[in-house]
Amino acid sequence: MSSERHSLALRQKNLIAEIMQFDQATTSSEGLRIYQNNLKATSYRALSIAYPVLERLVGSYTLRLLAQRLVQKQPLSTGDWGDWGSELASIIEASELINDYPFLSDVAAFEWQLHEAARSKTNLFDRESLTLLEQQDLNTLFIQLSQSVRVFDSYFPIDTIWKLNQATDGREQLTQTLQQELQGPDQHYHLLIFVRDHQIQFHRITEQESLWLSAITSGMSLEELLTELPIFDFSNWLKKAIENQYLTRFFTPQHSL
Amino acid sequence: MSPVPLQPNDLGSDNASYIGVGLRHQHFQEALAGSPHIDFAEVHTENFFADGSIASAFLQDASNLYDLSLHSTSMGLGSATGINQNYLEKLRQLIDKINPVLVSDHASFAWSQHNRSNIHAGDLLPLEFSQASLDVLVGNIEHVQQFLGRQLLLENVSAYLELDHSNLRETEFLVTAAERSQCRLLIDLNNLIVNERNAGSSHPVEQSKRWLDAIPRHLVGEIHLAGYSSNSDFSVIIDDHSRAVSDECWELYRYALQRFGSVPTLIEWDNELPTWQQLIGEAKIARQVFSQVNQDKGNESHVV
Repeated sequence: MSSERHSLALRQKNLIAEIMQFDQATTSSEGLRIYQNNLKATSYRALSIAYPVLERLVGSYTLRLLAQRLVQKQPLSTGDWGDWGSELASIIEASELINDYPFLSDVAAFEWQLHEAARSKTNLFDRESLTLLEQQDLNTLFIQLSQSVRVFDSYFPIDTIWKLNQATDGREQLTQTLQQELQGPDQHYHLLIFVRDHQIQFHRITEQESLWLSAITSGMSLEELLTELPIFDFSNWLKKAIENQYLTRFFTPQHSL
Repeated sequence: MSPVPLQPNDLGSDNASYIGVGLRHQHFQEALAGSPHIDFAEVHTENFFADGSIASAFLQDASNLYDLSLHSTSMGLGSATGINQNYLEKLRQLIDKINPVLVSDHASFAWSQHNRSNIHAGDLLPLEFSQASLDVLVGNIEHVQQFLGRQLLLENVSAYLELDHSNLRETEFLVTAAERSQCRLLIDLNNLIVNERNAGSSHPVEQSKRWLDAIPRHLVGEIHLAGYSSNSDFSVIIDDHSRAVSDECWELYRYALQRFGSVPTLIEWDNELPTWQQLIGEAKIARQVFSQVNQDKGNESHVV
């Protein structure tokens, strides 16, 4: 890099640093303040899109403050604000909000998974790959899930909280359900997130299914999966997985492309 | 270096207008019903980078109804650290998917480093109008055009800071950048007015006309029209595209058409969105202005 270019790069870097220091003493430059306000507004808008229920729970004022903290901890790196905001749950975890609302960081983490799933590529299931089940040694046969599939675990009924804050109908029933779940015995909730027909969906799954899906993601062969989780009903799951479009294909390492 | 395949300039002609509107998420449903009043629709590129998004599916459908223009806001063409290659890969994939009639971005920078990490400023940050900045801009545009195999349109921005190292006029800077890189210019008329107003000009439209006078006709590939708002104490005008096209901007548009002839023209409205019909109404006004200017030209030539 030439020295002129290097000096220019340094001046550009310094300007960005000045813009990002919006939590320090108020700047006397009206122009700088406009860029700071733009950054505050854009980062808030990005979070507002990705975290609609969190915003209803904490309010827009608090979400704006969280956006400011987040943009300083995790600045935008791709040029696409849709990619930005993954660390919000950890910002909440480290904030005073968690004392009064211990489930908030899980709501944020759940909404980020929904956001990511909705943006991921979806492929139709390769039905021909089913023939590999008959032909192949199960030790060399693997399952590929749709890119949208995510397993979310929490000790809070995040799905009920989320639905209650999105629903226009049936709120009474959901409130009652939530109360029962919060007052009932401690539970570990497992949620499966996926995209079906371009629509984001989620539902509760058993611990066995959660383990099964995690094992697939970790790269276990079908033989290893069946050995590791002998009581899991694979044939029933397969039918459901194809129907719900969270399965992409079966494959062997030599046909992995 | 192999020459960049330039796009044919067949969008509009001296006798035909080519008018479009910025297409935003809230209007997707109505836009898919089609409109005889617009020739093209412009979308913000980065909103369609995600493979599986609903917006991405919409774009495929919209491309069957309208010519599409891809308007980027994040390329950061003036960034001294260069342009992120992942960004360019995504842009190229999108171009391959929808074959836009125009591809544009701004004369601004965005990529840099912060705490030893590569970051994006998330805004259209102003460029120094200096030789070093010009060299960076030209180099980046050449790289992008080679990579995409497309000619870019480079838009003038509204800037709220005057940078110390500037020693060229903005028009000199942009014209030289376009001539050296073989890109063309997207002239945002609203940005000219915003900059003149913020510079304290008492005749922002007249000053903007002088700005246009410094731009050679053959370099202009598109015009943007928009409205603006002001900050709470009205001391600064903000280019937020939250209003109908201002009267000043319409006046400047008439002048631009007289000077540049028919140029693809876009109505931008990004915040406090109007109804789809209101937006189309702005496009109709643009077409009326075009017809009027064309008619006046015809009358003048008859007189001659």
